[in-house]
Amino acid sequence: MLLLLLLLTALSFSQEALTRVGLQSARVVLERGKEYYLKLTGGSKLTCADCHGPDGESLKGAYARMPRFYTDLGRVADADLRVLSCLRQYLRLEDERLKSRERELVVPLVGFVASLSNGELVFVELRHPEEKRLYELGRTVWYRRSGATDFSCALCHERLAGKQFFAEVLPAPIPDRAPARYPAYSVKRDELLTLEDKLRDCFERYLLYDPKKGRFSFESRVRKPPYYVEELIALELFLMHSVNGSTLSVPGVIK
Amino acid sequence: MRLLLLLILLLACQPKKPKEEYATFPQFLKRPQETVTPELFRRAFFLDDEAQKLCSSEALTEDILKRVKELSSNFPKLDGYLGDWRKGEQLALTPELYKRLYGKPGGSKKGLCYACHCADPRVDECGDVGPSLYRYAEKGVKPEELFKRIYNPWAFSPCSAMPRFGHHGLLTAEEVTHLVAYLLSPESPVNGGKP
Ligand code: HEC
Ligand code: HEC
Ligand code: HEC
Repeated sequence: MLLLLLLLTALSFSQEALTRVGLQSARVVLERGKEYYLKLTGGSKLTCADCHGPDGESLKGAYARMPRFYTDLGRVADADLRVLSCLRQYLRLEDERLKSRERELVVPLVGFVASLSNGELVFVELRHPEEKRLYELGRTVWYRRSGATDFSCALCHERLAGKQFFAEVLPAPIPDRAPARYPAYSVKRDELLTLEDKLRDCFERYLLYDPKKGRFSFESRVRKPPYYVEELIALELFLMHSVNGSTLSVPGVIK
Repeated sequence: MRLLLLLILLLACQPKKPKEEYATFPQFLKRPQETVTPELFRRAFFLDDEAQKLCSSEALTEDILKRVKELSSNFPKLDGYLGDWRKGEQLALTPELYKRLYGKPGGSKKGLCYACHCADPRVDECGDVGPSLYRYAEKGVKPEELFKRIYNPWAFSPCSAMPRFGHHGLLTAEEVTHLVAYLLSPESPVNGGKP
């Protein structure tokens, strides 16, 4: 009966239904993030809530200003790296426990943290010298042609934006203000993707050279950058800064 | 049909239950180790390729374009530039497109042509980044000229969106001759031939 009702609803709004189902799944992940936030503990016996407040009071608006420089880390961090660092340094989750399911913990927590900034305007500043350096690095990576395909982010997302690439239309993430909708739920992949996840995936299209052979090879394992690498955080900083002033609205829903 | 699709969709999109409770961490659940270090990634990404570096400039000046053209003038000398169009078709079509056309395995991951070009009219999932190559033979381009155009497009259109297939070894010189035939042979479906 319930299923029939669901089906009928879905039939009448098939397009919206997709978004709705995506949003619903995204909320489940965010709920899980909240649960981790309140209950997960490691060697220090502290929870996230012990330091940042039971409802994450001290984190409201934080996501809208990330990536930024953190004195306790001595480097610029995006939300993913910031959360991972708190898991490591402050919860003192052992490496053994983190290794196998690092992203399974980080992604829902980033989703929850980001949702605390919903409605805020993106406001990424370039004050610290490291923030300025990473902004320039992000810009360099955005325009850098690379790999066996000679692609660059800017080639697909500026010069060719709006064109058809196989069956997909090349999006224009900066004018579309796409970064302000991440973390976003991918309906096709049935998982929540942080901005870092999404940018990292786009590197697959470069068909990067095999660094060991010094030429292109289909066998190469180097397809994407490793998580939290400076170049990824720099790209995020560059993109978020480029959409300063947009209203943060997460979780987004993508194909 | 639509109903069935939606049903599948709904089932597939059921919110996933978290796999484990937050407090327990089964030790057996291990992902393969990430072996790509930042250094390896940097070496793979920041290639020491002068033309690529020049084309990364935000403002592509006349000087840059001229220099990139100069840097793109090395081509292998071959006895003939017209290969086998059927082999060219195998290279141009991705495995998915090939399967859709012929119902059997074939095609190649090197075949990015349809990402940016339409050509064989039976393929409707094709890009419009580059011009349509349908009935390309009518343009009257010589095989050697076309070989160069595919082997290294930057010799003609510096910093173009089209990858330098031969330059990078994404396609061998011989493979490029097969693509030349795919675009020029009157039997090729690109030129209205019946496969
Ligand atoms: C022992 C205290 C402590 C615990 C526990 C802790 N953090 Fe933090 N967290 C910090 C400190 C210190 C900073 C850095 C604040 C700064 O420099 O502005 C920080 C910063 C952050 C920030 C960035 C805030 C901003 O203003 O940009 C986020 C997000 C965050 N933590 C999330 C978490 C999450 C999620 C957890 C649980 C996994 C957690 N933290 C656990 C101490 C803690
Ligand atoms: C060959 C073309 C190509 C290149 C190169 C490329 N992308 Fe993409 N990108 C796409 C396509 C196609 C999509 C849309 C489909 C998808 O989401 O995967 C996309 C999606 C995105 C999105 C999500 C947009 C949205 O509306 O949600 C972002 C952000 C993005 N790319 C950033 C990048 C960055 C950063 C780089 C460089 C590291 C890059 N892309 C390189 C083709 C490309
Ligand atoms: C990433 C996009 C892209 C891919 C992939 C691509 N091309 Fe192109 N191609 C272009 C663009 C853009 C042009 C327009 C001229 C230029 O800028 O080089 C072009 C031009 C051409 C031309 C010259 C057309 C004319 O006007 O005479 C030929 C021939 C051609 N491509 C063949 C191919 C073949 C064969 C493949 C697959 C091996 C391929 N292309 C893959 C983007 C692409």
